Amino acid sequence: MSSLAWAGSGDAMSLLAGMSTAADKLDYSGEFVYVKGAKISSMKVVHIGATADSGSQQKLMALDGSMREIIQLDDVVACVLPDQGMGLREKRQTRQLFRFDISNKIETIEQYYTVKPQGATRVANRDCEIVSVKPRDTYRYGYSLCIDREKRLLLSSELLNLEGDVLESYQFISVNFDPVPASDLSSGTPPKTLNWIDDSDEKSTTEMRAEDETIKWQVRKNPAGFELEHYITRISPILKTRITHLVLGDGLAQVSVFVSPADASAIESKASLNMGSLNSSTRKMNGFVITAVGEVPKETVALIADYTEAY
Amino acid sequence: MKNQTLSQLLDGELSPDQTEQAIDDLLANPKMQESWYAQHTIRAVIKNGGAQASCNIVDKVAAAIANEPTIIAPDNLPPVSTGGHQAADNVVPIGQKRTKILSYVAIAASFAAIVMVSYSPQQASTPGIADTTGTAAPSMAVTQEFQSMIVQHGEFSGAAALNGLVAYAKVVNGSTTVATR
Repeated sequence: MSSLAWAGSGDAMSLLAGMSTAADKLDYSGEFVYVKGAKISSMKVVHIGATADSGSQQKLMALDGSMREIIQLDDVVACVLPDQGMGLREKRQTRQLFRFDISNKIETIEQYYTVKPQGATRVANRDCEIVSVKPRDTYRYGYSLCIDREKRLLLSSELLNLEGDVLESYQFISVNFDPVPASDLSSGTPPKTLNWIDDSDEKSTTEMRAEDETIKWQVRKNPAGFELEHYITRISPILKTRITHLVLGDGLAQVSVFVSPADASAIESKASLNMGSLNSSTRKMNGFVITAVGEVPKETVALIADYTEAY
Repeated sequence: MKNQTLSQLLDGELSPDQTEQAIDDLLANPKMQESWYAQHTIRAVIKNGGAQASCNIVDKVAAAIANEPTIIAPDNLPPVSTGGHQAADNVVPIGQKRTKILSYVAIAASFAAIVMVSYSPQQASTPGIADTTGTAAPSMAVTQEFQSMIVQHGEFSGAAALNGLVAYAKVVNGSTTVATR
């Protein structure tokens, strides 16, 4: 289908929804670059799509600097550091990583973003459709996405600030959709040559979870349209106490809110932080420290931190 | 220093004496420091609980700093005899122990650099909106706290990610930073 046939936001939203599921279902391999500021990194990825019987599996390998591999087999992740002669196996506590399904968030996205097709181009020698995702207000960033016309895989992504400047970007430079044999997920380093740290047992992860909670937290009024998606209580190894982690989303962007006892926190005053596209805002309230963190403008995290309260 | 010892150090499984020795060895071995940074960073990002793996040793580093206020506030040092002349109040004697503590600080500083946090304490000019004027270096503990939150947030942040690769891509990218510092 020609890009000229993409006439409206409906098609663009369809592309977005297809993109989010394709990433999980497809077999693919390729190389991509990640650009943030003046720093460019290149990585190789091998991905085996999820089936009815198993989740997706993949391997990432750094192509710059010292050798580093990250291999994800369902919910176990292994890091291989040949230069250091070591490996690390850990079990993920959630399956959120590598899953970004927005097919059930279409209405929410359309409420806060204008999603439009912007023609076609070629990325990694593949035809792709450009989708512009512009925020309808100043509480969120925009995106310029390029989605593979045939496979719906996201081939490039730019995160844009309110002025339209690129904050960070990813782009495939080569991609292949041939079936990926499981053997391709193997590390290039013989496991026996490494010293392994194994934290993949269930015990080490369940011990991180808090058993009960006396105070519940909420972000009232869904500020800037961000609604609660996850509510997690955990023990912070840094603060050595229970913290509450709320995740809010607008369909595309997420903001985390962390609440911890003030006497355990080192953050002493109202503070904000900026790290590229990521902003945070912290405040104290009634003996607690509340910090909102997310890839959104600083005003948004400040607003969400201010609207967080106990109930 | 063996990798196994480094792992035990990260896990807080060494006795106090062994920990002390391991830190000495770590300070004397730049390559092992790189390995430590890499292990810490990857563990921190992968593990939902943040920088768990390193907290023991980082706490020790922080404690070492806290127990040596002269490093942070050299004016408080007692006068030091230097060949019959009393040293100026602001002269820091760099003995073996202090060199070691300074090395702790160097490690801590490098660790902070990994996070690449720009921290700005604020005087809020508008309710709910942080003012961005004024900057100060974050303390070790503050840096750790922010890093832990960023790591935990990363697991749920999917927007603009290339097929959800963003979190781990940043890990891979991050360890480049670690390796070069």
